[in-house]
Amino acid sequence: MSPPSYPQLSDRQRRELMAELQGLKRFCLSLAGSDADADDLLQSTVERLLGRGIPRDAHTARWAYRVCKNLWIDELRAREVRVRHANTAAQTSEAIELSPSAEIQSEGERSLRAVTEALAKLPEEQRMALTLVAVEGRSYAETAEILQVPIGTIMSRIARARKRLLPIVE
Amino acid sequence: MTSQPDNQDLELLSRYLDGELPAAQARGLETRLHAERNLQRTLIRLQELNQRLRDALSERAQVPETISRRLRSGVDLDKYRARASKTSNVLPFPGSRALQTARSNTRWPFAVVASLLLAAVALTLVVNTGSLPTSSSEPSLPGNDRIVSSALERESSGIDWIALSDGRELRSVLTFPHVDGRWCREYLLRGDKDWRAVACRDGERWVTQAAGLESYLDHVGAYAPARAGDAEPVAVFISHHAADIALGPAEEKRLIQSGWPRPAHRNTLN
Repeated sequence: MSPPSYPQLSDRQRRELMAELQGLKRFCLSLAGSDADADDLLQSTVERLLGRGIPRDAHTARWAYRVCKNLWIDELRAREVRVRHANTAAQTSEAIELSPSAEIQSEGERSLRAVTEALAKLPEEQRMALTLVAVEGRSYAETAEILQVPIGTIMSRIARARKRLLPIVE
Repeated sequence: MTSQPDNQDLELLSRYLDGELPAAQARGLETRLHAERNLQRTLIRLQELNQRLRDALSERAQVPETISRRLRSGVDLDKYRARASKTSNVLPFPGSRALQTARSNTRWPFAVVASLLLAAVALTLVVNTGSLPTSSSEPSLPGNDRIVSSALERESSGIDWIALSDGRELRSVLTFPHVDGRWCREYLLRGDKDWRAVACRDGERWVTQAAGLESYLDHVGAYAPARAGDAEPVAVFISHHAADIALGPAEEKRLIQSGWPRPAHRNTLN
């Protein structure tokens, strides 16, 4: 059975998507890890939305995040990018240890890197929930809708994610 | 080494930080926050963690031009952009605060965190509704006046321009419910300059929440979108705050006739 298609994106939907592109990019980054893979995922998301449309009565941004998440899980997960992402944290740590420039990194750079690494180590479902709520400012209800899980699940995923990340702000 | 809070407290703080704790529970937690130093410290660390997460992801959030060009090609925003004013078109007004807070509504307890650090200061809750009322120090916002408010109160959306008593013209574009339960309307305003704006109904007054210059409004009545390059404050506002799609003409007419009763609870999860 072919996936459902909806009418071509209206101007309003395109404008709303334009306004959400940076948020989508951050979401892609949290999923894919590297800039290049995040751009690939964002590109695939936009192409999917342009190709299959969005229901007229759907909330554009939430629909887009959901498509992005589904693309990542259903299609891109099997690709090499996932393997690369799984290794990102370890590779980054090695790079820091080996790089002579690490000594002259600013405190701010080290802090950002530590957050990025810690985020990459989180289970995927916690990472998605935390990014949508803490970074994108989505409500639990919106996040539950995007990730297609109950609100209570979002609540506990976010708390567990924060518990794991808290040591980086000691 | 800071001690770790137990899971139950961490979930409470987490929900509090996200603005998802019911009011009664939030008050109970605030009482504890006054008394328990470790709890205060954990809340501050969670706040710091949020900020670092945002910084880490935002630093790399540039969208490749090929992707944004692909998306906007259908609405030919380049054409509109070329017609737009060369100066910046977006107003810093309550809408910009709304946009900022909508983007990061997890920041709202920051004032709480700060006040906790000052023992002499009473704990103050800053609730981010994303829709701050206009203060008297911001009187010059486009459309944020009694005449426009009155027109928005009574005029239906459509393609016709309404002549206002002071010579300006107004056209309502659409009506939608805000996630906080208010009604909001997107509208176009012609005067010395042309504006596209969105206002929400606070009490019995319509307060403009976001606006952008529309220097290229087609005076035969066609509607053109705002400049994409200026982040489209109205589109962004709607994207972040609309609880549902715009009302149909009949539903909107009934609302106007009945004096804009608050929307019934809508299930925004489709």
